[in-house]
Amino acid sequence: MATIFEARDVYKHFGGIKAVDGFSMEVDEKQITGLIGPNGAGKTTFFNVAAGIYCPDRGEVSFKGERIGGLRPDQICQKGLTRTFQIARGLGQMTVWENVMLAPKHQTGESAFGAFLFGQVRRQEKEHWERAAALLGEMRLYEQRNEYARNLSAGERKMLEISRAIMTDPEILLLDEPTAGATVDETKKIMAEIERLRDERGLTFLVVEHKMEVIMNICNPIYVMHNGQNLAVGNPGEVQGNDQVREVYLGG
Amino acid sequence: MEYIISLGSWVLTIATIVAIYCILGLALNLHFGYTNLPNFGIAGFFAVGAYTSAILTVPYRFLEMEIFAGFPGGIPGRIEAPFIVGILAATAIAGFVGFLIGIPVLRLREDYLAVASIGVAEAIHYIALNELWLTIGSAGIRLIPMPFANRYIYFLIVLLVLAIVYWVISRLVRSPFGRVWKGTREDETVTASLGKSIFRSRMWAWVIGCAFMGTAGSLWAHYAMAIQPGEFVPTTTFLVWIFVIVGGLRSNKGVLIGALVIIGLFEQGTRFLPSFGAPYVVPALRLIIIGVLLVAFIRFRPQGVLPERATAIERHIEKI
Ligand SMILES: Nc1ncnc2c1ncn2[C@@H]1O[C@H](COP(=O)(O)OP(=O)(O)O)[C@@H](O)[C@H]1O
Ligand SMILES: [Mg+2]
Repeated sequence: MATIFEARDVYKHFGGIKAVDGFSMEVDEKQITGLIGPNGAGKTTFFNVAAGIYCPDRGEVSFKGERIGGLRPDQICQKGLTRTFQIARGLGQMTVWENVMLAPKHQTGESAFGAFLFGQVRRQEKEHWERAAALLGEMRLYEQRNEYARNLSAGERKMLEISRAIMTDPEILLLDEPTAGATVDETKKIMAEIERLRDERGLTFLVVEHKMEVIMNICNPIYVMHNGQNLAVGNPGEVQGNDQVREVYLGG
Repeated sequence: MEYIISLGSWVLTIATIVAIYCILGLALNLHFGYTNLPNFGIAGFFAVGAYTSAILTVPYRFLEMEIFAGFPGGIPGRIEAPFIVGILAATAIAGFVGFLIGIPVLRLREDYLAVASIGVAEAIHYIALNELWLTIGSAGIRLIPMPFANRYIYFLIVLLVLAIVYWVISRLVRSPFGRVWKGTREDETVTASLGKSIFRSRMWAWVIGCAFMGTAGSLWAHYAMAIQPGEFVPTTTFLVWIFVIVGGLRSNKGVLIGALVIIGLFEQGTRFLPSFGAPYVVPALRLIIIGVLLVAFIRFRPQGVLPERATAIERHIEKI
């Protein structure tokens, strides 16, 4: 199996806070890799480094063999890595359809002159909407397509954010607690969608989660992070059986 | 009979001024409404456009008069370009000045951007005042030609330009580029994480808005036929801000309504008030009325007369 995403000895400190403190990991293609750890372990900060929101203090992040540490978020997304946020960040004053239609890359109409290439813009808009409508249907958001995103429930906003990320056509998706705030039903839906995208489109996932059912059912391997460092890595059984992990995270 | 003629002329004056302000308002709506770039330097870009157009089109006769009067300053060369060259150059140069200013300024946070843009407008004001070789200084430029030397035809030209600006901005805002602007406004981090370059999208919105402010400046110069540095002061900027907020941010139709009400009121509306007291009372009153209106809107209807409305996807696909 080929490694698509790799972090080597990554550091990110905020003053005295060692948020990420020498963390390393590898993500293999077409796998759903889990990243767990107690609150404050540094998972979100690590995502922010990987997605270009922070520049790593030290260490290397690479994607498809290319160093991406220090690139801008938009450049990293253009290369095929898209992330979602722990607290769903819907673009609230935009409708659901505007949210998902914002995401596709290389839109002709996204430049001052391109916006006036009427035929081409219309054709692309139709194509993108066809894809987006199917995805929204899948996510049970189609009925709300003309609503402002701020009017959605917490779970629906999570679904919207994932849909939006998928619309960027990534090769790897970094999901930061994709089911936080989602109902039991929505959680199942999100899990099923992640697996379907992996199976049907060969997408790779790196998922931060707190819900055990999600991690143990769909993630393999699982990395455990603690105080910004690697604590353990293995398949669900191995991680569950690891004493150190039980101590700091699973609560013994 | 005379009354009717003067009434017609009065309406024409107001209509022309309101139409020029509408262009400024649409440009500010692009900056602040759609992209969250608080531009408090509107008067500066307006001045760049007005001066560019005036310098390019002013007849040599005017320069001769200046030289004859022993005035040391001057405008480079005898250009005497036609109006169309003036207005296009005004648009381009104002956009270019916007671009140069945008490089450092667009990386700033919104509140700093607001302050910086005031400074930029002041700097432009002082250039107009002091760079005599270019602008002739405080006396200003006179004899700027009005196309066809006819105010009725000129009003139609202004309307045509307004229609073009309205159409271009509305199209941009509806297009995928407009979606990126909205996203940038809502949450930069999210929009960047979706692969959009924030700096590039902001820069385009900024440059296009500045360019259209220059267009408005050119229209003003050829309407007034004389410009002076003293006209390009923050009052212009604040008036635009007020009517854009009253009309409805993010709504281009709202901007038109706001301009009609506020500029109409400010420029000439107090004619209908009976005069009383000292001569300065009535003009001061109009500022008070506008101030009260602004406060009332911010307090009771912050979304303005015509707020932004969501477009249904079905309609979008049909219209795009
Ligand atoms: N921008 C920041 N400035 C200062 N401290 C931060 C910042 N971001 C995160 N931290 C700190 O870094 C640590 C790791 O946080 P985070 O990455 O959010 O953990 P997790 O996502 O695993 O819960 C926490 O102690 C947090 O307070
Ligand atoms: Mg977190």
